[in-house]
Amino acid sequence: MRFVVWLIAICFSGSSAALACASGEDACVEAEQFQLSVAVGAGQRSNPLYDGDGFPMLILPDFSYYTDSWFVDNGTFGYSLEQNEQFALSLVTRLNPEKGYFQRWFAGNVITMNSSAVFLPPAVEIGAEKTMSAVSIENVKKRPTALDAGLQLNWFGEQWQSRLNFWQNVNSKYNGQNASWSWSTFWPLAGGQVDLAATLYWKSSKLIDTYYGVGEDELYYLERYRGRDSWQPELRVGWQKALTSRWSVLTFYRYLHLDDAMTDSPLVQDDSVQTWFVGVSYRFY
Amino acid sequence: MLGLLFAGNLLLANAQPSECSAELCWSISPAFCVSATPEQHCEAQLSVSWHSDKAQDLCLYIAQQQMQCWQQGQQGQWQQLVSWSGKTDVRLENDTDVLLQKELIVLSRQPEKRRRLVAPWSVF
Repeated sequence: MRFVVWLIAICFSGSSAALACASGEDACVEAEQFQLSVAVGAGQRSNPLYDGDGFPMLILPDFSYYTDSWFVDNGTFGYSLEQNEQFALSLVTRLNPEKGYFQRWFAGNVITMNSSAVFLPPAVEIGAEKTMSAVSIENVKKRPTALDAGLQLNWFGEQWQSRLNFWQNVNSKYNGQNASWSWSTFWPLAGGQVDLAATLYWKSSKLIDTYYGVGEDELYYLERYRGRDSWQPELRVGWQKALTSRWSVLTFYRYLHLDDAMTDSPLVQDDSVQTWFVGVSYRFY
Repeated sequence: MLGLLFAGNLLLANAQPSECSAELCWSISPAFCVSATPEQHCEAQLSVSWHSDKAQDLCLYIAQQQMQCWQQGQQGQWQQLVSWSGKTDVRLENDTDVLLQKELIVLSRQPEKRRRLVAPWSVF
């Protein structure tokens, strides 16, 4: 009987109380359990580049696996150095997402469908003595696949959370840095939950130059551009409502503003990236 | 001797074995309870009994609160309705040292969840 009592104690004792989460929140996961949800619906992410394909989003995945210290979450791999009820400090790594505008089949873009929109290149006079002021991504060299690593600090309030990221390129593809600071909050609405997040991205001149610069090694008739530091604010609003324990309605809209450091590039046509999605999600695990 | 008590949706584990440190032994019952959720409090009639080979001055503490003291005693018993959540220390102390210490714990039938550190649905 004594054995049974302690067996119950052992069975019910979970991982450490660090970062314990009230059940039912979307941002909570069970430790050491693979979590996978898939949303099906309609959506699109725009592409700000000349001749860049927009990304129609019909299927969205959301996956994560957390242990007490290690985690994999939507393409970010991390190790938490410190964590308590208010803060978490983690070492993190991921593929830099910038290449996603240049190549459809890249990391987060994998689950997308062909764009139905016909993207016409701008009318540009091409002459031996003229430079092309609008540069198609088809006319420039392939952009590199960059691996970033860095630090992430999360902190949590009652109805909000914030995240600070600093990334350094570690495979010598752009040899620069990028950082972001985001703050998000949520509140109940119409039987569901509204999420509002504001994020400010900073991207170093080396990053901007590598992806959006046009250097001397490109075709001679293209307009040149040397990248500068870029500040990019983003707003995201979403609404999610659970229909059953596995099915939910999922909607969101995201607006990323591109500053002059981006729009001065002859590769960049738009000053924003807009993403929207409306669908239903199913939680498999 | 050992038993499991169901009290509402709490499961209480009774009568823990004696634990000793040098000449001082004690037993605490219950030492843990199992609740439906991690946030739930446990409330139980907590019993502490101790005996010692030599007479000594001892005080019983739960967390930071002094519950009872004994002067030059060789044994003692204490019982009271106690409510606790999470992990709570029970200690027998003399004037200078903590002689025996045990954690009362609340275990949950519900798997503990932790916060995600990356925003959901952030693949794109």
